[in-house]
Amino acid sequence: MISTVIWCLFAGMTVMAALAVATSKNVVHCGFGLLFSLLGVCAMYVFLGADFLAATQVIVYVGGILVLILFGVMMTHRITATDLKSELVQPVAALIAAVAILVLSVGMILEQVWPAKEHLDPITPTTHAFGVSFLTDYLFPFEFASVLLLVALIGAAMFTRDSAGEDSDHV
Amino acid sequence: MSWSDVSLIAPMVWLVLGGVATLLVDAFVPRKGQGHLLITSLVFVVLALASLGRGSDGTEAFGGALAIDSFANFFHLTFLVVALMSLAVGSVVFAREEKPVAEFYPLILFSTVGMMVMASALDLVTLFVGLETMSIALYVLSASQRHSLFSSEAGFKYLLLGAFSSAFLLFGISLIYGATQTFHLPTIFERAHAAGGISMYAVYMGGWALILVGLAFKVALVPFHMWTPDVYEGAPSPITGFMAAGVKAASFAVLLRVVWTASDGFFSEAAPLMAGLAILTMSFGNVVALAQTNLKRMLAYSAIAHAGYIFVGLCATSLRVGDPAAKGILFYLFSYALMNVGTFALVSLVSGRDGERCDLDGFRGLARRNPLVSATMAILLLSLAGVPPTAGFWGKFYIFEAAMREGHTTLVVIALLNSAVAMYYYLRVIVVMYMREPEGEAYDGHSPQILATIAAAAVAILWIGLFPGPVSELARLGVTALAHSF
Amino acid sequence: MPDLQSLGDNLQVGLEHYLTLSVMLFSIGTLGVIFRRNVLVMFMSVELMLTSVNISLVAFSRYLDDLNGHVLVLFVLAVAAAEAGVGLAILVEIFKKRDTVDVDEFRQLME
Repeated sequence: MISTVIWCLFAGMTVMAALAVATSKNVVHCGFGLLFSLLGVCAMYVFLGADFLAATQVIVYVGGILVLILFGVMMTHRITATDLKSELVQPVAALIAAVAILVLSVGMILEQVWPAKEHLDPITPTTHAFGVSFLTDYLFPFEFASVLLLVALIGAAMFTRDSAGEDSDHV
Repeated sequence: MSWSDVSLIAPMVWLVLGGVATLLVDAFVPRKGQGHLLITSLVFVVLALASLGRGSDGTEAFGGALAIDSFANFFHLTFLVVALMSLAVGSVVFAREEKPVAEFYPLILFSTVGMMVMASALDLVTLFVGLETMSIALYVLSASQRHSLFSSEAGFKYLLLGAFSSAFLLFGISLIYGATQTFHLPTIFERAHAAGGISMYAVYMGGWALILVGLAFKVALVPFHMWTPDVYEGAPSPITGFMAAGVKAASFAVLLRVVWTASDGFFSEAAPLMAGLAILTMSFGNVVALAQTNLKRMLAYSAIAHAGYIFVGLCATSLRVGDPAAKGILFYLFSYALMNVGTFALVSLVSGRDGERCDLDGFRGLARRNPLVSATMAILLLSLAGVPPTAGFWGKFYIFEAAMREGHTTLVVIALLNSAVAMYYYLRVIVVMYMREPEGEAYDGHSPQILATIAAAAVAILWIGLFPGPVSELARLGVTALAHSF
Repeated sequence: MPDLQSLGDNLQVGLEHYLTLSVMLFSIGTLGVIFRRNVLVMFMSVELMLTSVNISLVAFSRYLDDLNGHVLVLFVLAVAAAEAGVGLAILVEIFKKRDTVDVDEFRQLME
């Protein structure tokens, strides 16, 4: 019983924080909303027995991506205040699409007969199995992910290097 | 894994090595200009081309992660040709910059590998990693024109919408996994056709629908197209050509595999929806393209329309061995790759450094100034319009004929009407080139690489138009192989 | 504090609850991307969408008793990190240029 209450608390925190991201006027508040939302997701991983992923979530998301985003917020804060307009989508059509997703998914969830929750296996550590599957079944995507990261590295380095050259021109 | 796995994916290995090699050459061989980088990267693309064609139908590498069969090989050939042409054109365009962007070469190579992985991927994890490698490289390339804010903004817009669409794709993948407990496409097919069927049927169907939405963003089907015009216009022209041809081919390769995996179950229920998407995409693309005066933007909308024509083929796939509609799609994608990269090469030749002459007026009286270039342009545009005897005609012919035989008469009639509308805006460019007086300063483009590329593209288009047999046969083999993996 | 083992075992929560949570986060993220005009907030909303997918993957993994779903989650994390890196590099580049370039020159592209 007590664990169900704790679950609901974390789930509530995740959703409320996500709502803060989507609605808050202040970009810094959005950043902190994202932080709490990601921490809530991390708690979900713990409930689901994904020990390795929970740790990775904290390190990569909270420690890496979020810091990067907050860094971006601070660097561009002065200009962001003016709101970069970006008419990517027609709001009405998009709203219909988003509501459709929600209705369809909820309908799908309600209609489905779900597997019973009583017959779950006990939670076991996952790290060993991770290592094995990365070097057997998922060897190719695992190796290929290094190409993906190299591309991201080249990309990020390209923009910083360019602007460094630009600065030295002006000096 | 064994060495035979590595030798099966030799073309991909060569391209990755080529990407690393160009990076190292750029770092350790200080020279003015980028000729040495171009040559290094071209050497590796040619090595990859030479090592194509391994594996036979049903060959899987890395424990079922990749299929190396005629289907994959057909697409690998397409991507390598696109990469070859784009490298040649891009080397000129990027050399015009004050500070040349050497990263262009490795990024094109890595992006091409990503496309190849997509076309080969037999499991959804591999597919996702390949797709993201291709996309991230393209985000960076779209933003790579240093002096232009337009280009940076195009890159960011593409990234944002790309990540948005990946989220849909991923959600779909996760639902499919939930319903079938596997990521491996042939296994999914098996489980869906097993005696009991799939117990979580709603989840399974929702999964395919979301995967379809995610890929619809990538091929720019209406109403998932909103990023296309801005990104195509903002990105440097050679990159636009590369992504319009490459991303479209790679995504349709994935779509074909997805359609064959999901097979009748999903697509008999979704057929009206898919036909609607095709009609909407063709009509919207063509009608909006009519109103454009900027050539790059016009070509962006025409790219949307072409995605619609190809999607007609997807609606008409019969899911049988040697399916004529699927063969038409492969043929169309190959010829579209040639004409599209060629057209954008010409645009970068004529439009000059800042793309100031991308406007239709920039082409006024081009025939008077440079008859050869404008004749090539005319061939490319006529092929895009689908006029015989060009490759573009046969692509449309194969797809529409197969759709007719499958009984999609309304769809074909609408597609033909659309082709007629499209004729107008392609011909308008030709009229401007041939019938108007030249004005303003002459364009300064005399670059052997670009001229060689567009000449090769035009000759290939005419050649395929006159003798469609060999390419059509390759495409047919590819479709047979596709049926073989299920 | 109860130990993690009993926390997971006594839970009166099923797969459908995790999926509902996941769908809610996904929809909030979608709305954030669509309705917000601030690019950074749009970016954060996309991250939210990717995370919501991870919840459903891990939940499926747990209830199917199959570890393959976890593997995809790790790839999603890697991709999200790569996209964040590249995206913010481009964004900083844009803002740098906006400082130096005339405002009217890029107004045309933003609409």
